[in-house]
Amino acid sequence: MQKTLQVTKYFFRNYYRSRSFYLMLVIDILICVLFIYFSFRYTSKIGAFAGRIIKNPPESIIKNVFDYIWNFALLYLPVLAAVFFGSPAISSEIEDRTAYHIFPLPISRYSLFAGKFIAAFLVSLVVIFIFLGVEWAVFPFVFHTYQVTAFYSTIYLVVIFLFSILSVTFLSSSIFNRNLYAYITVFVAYFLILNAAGYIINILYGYTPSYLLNVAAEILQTVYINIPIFGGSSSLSIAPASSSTILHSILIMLAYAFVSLAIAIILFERKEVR
Amino acid sequence: MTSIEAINISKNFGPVHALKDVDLEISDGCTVILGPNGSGKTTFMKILTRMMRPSSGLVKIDGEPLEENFVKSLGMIGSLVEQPEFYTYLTGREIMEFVCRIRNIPKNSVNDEIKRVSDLCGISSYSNRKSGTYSRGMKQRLGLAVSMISSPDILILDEPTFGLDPRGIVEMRNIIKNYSREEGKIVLLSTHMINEAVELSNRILILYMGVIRYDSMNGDDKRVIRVTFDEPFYGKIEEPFIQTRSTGNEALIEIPSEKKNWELIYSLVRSGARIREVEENYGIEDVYMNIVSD
Repeated sequence: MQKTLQVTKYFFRNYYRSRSFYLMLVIDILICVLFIYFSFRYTSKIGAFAGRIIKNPPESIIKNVFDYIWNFALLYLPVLAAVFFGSPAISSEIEDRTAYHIFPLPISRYSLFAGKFIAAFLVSLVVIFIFLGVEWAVFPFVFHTYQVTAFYSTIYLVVIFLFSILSVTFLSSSIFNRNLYAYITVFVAYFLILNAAGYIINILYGYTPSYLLNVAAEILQTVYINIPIFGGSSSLSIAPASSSTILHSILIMLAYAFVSLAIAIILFERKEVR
Repeated sequence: MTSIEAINISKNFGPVHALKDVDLEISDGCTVILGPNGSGKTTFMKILTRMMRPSSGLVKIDGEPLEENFVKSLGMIGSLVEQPEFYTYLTGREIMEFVCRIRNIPKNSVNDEIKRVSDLCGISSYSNRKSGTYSRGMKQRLGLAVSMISSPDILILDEPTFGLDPRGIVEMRNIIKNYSREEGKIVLLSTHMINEAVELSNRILILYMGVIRYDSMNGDDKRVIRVTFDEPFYGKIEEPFIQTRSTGNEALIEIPSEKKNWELIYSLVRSGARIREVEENYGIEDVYMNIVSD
């Protein structure tokens, strides 16, 4: 445990000094600036948007729609952060030849893996929490009141989602010895294959494949109002997702995380420096 | 006494046999492995440091199989294999701090240990710079410093003077000599430089095509005689003598330890050779050339 913490400490330091971290911060800030601009510019139109679903929406619904729109970014920000920090986490040891220095050290690969994972997780959290902090801070400026309760639910949901997607990126990174392959695989798998699968299943079989990670991640938005991206109009509702839906999404995300982590650790343990 | 032992180590990469039943035990001094590129030196060192698993065979550190308690075993080994890279955004000092903590050096002794290895390897002046800014030679020195943290009983170095300037090479050799001779630690290093091998080692191995073809500890088994002929000689050389190289006018012949030189001469004359000169040659360079030109 002590050694894992040491790995975390030094890898976290290496991460937050890296160009990837600063690039991620720039992206984060740009997204925040855009959302802040649109929040002040178009908040008055949220009522009209909500009004398409119910007549004369109350202020509580308008607040939920406001956060629903903000949380759109949270569907992608964890993915970007995970790809930036997780995809090269293992493959770079081989590609950048740092494995020659770290593999012969008296530390188990499990501890090394865990330390690196926690470091990548923490640095990704920094990026996400900056966004959440801005969202939290902007809300009272627009509505002159505190955040809605569901906002606090999104905090643990986004942490779980990050845990899940980061595990997937670590798996991809464990498979390959080249960073580029690890980056591309996660991008293609998440943004192309999962999205395509979601649409195709929805069109062909008429149901939302809630077992897909990207669909499960929609809980970050539907926790405010239940308008899933992949769902048809049949599931359109102004009511927030139920507790069982939230629990179901959490279980799906955790399943992806644990399966990916288990395979990734086995692969990392067997990885050789050739 | 600490020892490192390789028992029947083989390593295959698909159809390529990088190492074939390598047996070796080292319990003291500096052992140098010579061998051309692709002979299996680095693969062997990677297996000893658990960067790679053997296809078959066993590595024992201090009598215990490496895989059984590898954290303890690797704690006894410091290594610098190939030309390592370090985490770009960490300083040399931070990298050493990290290794100190992984090697269980108490927090209050870390600074002293870093100062010791930094001074020893001459990296004190730039250890506070990020390692991404280091030159090849600086990284090599940092690699050596890192490998010597906590004074491991066994030091495994793969071409440690690669990329160093002449002064750096001399300093590096002195550090290695001192570590082996003064501190009494085991050093196993590989090099392409025969003079370096002779200077540093008390045992030389020649690894060729994945097989240890020469071990100076058994040097008597491989006496090499250079014979020059008056007329080109293409006759058959009787067993147990082995002709390993021949140009017609000159031949290198291995003699088993139990045979005398005159027995070889007698055998050659009987085969019709007109001998001009016989030179007994114990030079490692000739042994090396003799083996790699097979």
